[in-house]
Amino acid sequence: MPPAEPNDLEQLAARIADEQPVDWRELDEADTASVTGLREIEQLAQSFRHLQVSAVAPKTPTSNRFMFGNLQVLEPLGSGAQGDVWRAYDPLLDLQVALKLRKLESGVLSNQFLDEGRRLARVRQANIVSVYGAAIHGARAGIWSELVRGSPVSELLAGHGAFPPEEVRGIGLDLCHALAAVHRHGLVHGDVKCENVMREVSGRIVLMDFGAAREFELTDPGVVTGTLRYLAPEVLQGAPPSPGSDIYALGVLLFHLLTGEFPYAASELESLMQAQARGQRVRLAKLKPGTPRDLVRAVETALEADPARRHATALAFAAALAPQPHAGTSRWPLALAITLGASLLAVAAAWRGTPAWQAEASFQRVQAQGSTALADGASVAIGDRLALQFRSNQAAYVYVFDDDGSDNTGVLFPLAGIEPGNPLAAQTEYRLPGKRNGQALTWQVSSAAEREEFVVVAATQPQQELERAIASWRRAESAAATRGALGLAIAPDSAEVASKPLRRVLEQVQRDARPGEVKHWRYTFPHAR
Amino acid sequence: MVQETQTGEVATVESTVALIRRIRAGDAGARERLLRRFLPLLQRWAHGRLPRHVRDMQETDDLVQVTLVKALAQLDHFESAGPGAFLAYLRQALLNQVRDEIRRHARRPEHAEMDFEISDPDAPALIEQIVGAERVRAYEHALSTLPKRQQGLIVMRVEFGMSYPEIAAEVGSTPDAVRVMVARAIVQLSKLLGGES
Repeated sequence: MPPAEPNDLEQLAARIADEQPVDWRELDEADTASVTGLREIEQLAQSFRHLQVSAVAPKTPTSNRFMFGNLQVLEPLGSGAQGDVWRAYDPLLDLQVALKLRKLESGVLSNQFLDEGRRLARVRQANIVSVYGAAIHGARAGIWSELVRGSPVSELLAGHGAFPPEEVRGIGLDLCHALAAVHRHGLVHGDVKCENVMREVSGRIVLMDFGAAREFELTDPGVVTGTLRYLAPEVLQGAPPSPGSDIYALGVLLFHLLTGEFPYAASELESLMQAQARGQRVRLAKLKPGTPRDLVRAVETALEADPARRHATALAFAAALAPQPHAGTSRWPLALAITLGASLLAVAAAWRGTPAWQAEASFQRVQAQGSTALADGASVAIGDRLALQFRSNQAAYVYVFDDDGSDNTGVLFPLAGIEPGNPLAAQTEYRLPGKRNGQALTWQVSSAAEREEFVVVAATQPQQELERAIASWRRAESAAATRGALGLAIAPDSAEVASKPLRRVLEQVQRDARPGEVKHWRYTFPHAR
Repeated sequence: MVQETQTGEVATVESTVALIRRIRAGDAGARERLLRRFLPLLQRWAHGRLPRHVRDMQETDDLVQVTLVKALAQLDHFESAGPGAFLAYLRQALLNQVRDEIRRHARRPEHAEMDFEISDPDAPALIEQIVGAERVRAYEHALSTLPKRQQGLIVMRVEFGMSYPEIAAEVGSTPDAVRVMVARAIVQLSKLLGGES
């Protein structure tokens, strides 16, 4: 693609200044310094906006419409079948939030609504709109959540046409991880569709509009009509929504993003059910030849009429969507990949040790509400705080590194002035990086390049080679480039550490170490498309 | 837009340049209007720029008030470098104050050396990902090399979230023209940030 014309750049800049989402797809290959700079400005501008929004002080009630509990309700954002959505200020969180309000019709409904809200508030995942709380005040029930700024993918589709396959793959992976988190909490989204998926200005994909869907379905036929084409055959026949029907809906969504069409041409309930019963589905490969075969397979499997033939879980769907490893590297069986994704825990891939020594390492996302294991390949975003849970049945020397792909290796552990230091005692649960002056610390994702790679090395003896390398790496400058949200994926093949300096040292360590003396874990954080 | 939620009024009638002229001529009302115009804007801005321990609303307000009052006291020394310059001048004064505040709180040496910052788990991530981050420094540096007029435009639009009509009143132009000027300034900045010489 030729470099972007100055005029194009100005238009892009105007969109950024207008706080409009920018479609970087057409410019991604125009790798000019200006485009890189513009993306950076876009993200900075977004951050500044967040700060402006979060800094609106509680002492400025002039534009208040009314109060809902603690929340100062500021202005209506929209209304729909599911109730009205308002912009509100939460003085406790010091944040502006989106507040969905609805009138209470019965005690049963209000209990359901609150219960749903409470459960949703526990689901924390980067690709899910964060729900902060739910309450009933007066005659109204409300759920308040993160205020997401961006465009629904349905709008992007209408404006720019079908999405490129690789972008659909990325969106699909993000949404699989989002759904996995929802399902793990015993919830079903029930209304996965293009209109409910936002792309933030930073590129982050956010699944919206939770919970209420199921409840309102019964009372408002409009909702059913709106999402008819996303409903799985069994749901159309009266079965309650399930994780399987969410997977089906996601299949429809990805199909739609790839083609602009739906798997079944029919749009009326009756004709749709007939078409489903006869299996008159438009085939993706026919409609969009040239789509990578694995992507076609993954989407088509999700669209199977028989739920038992669909991907068993959202994570299985993710595994099917994930890009295949390049030729030459070993392929992991699908089942194993799923297990890895599901546990994301302590996959000691270079498990050459004697069975006697066992060690476990797992990353945690640290939040105000507590820590959550980075299970099922949850994605991480800039600003996320991470910690490493470590436990070993023998005293161990632990080293944690990260590399941003430019061979700038950072040492994340051990760190001067921070307790604990090496060796870590046996049979003790550690949370790294540890504490400074008694205060618990975390690592914060503050920038991202094309890819981040984490390597955790544990050894029963101090590793001279690593200690030497640390001495030089610690002085290394960090990379400044920063992009949007990242997807976390565990790398199944630990032998292939991508960072050259890390790989060199690890090879050296493995040559020098006695058998069973060293284990290492590797995680990569690819840049979300 | 932001102006509305904060004060409920549209503050685009008098340009800052005109206000400064009146203040110099001894108009106390003008001084009051200038304070009213910039205080909420700067408070919001400072709120995002300060480290958590001094981000308490009262402390932030105090800091901004002190800076603003000081700046007004030294108004005679302020040489206007064109429309929008006063806001840029205030911003710089505040930035210096903020840096002093940050310096006052011990910084950890690892910060500058890693992609991952050691942070207090209770600190709000939204603020922390801006404050002290390497990319903000890169942005500040690039911004400082732009012509003053362009600096002012970017600061007003991108950092302070002022609307085009507000900026237009400030620089004595039309909203449409301002929109084009802001876009051009952003393109210039992007070249510097992207590493183009």
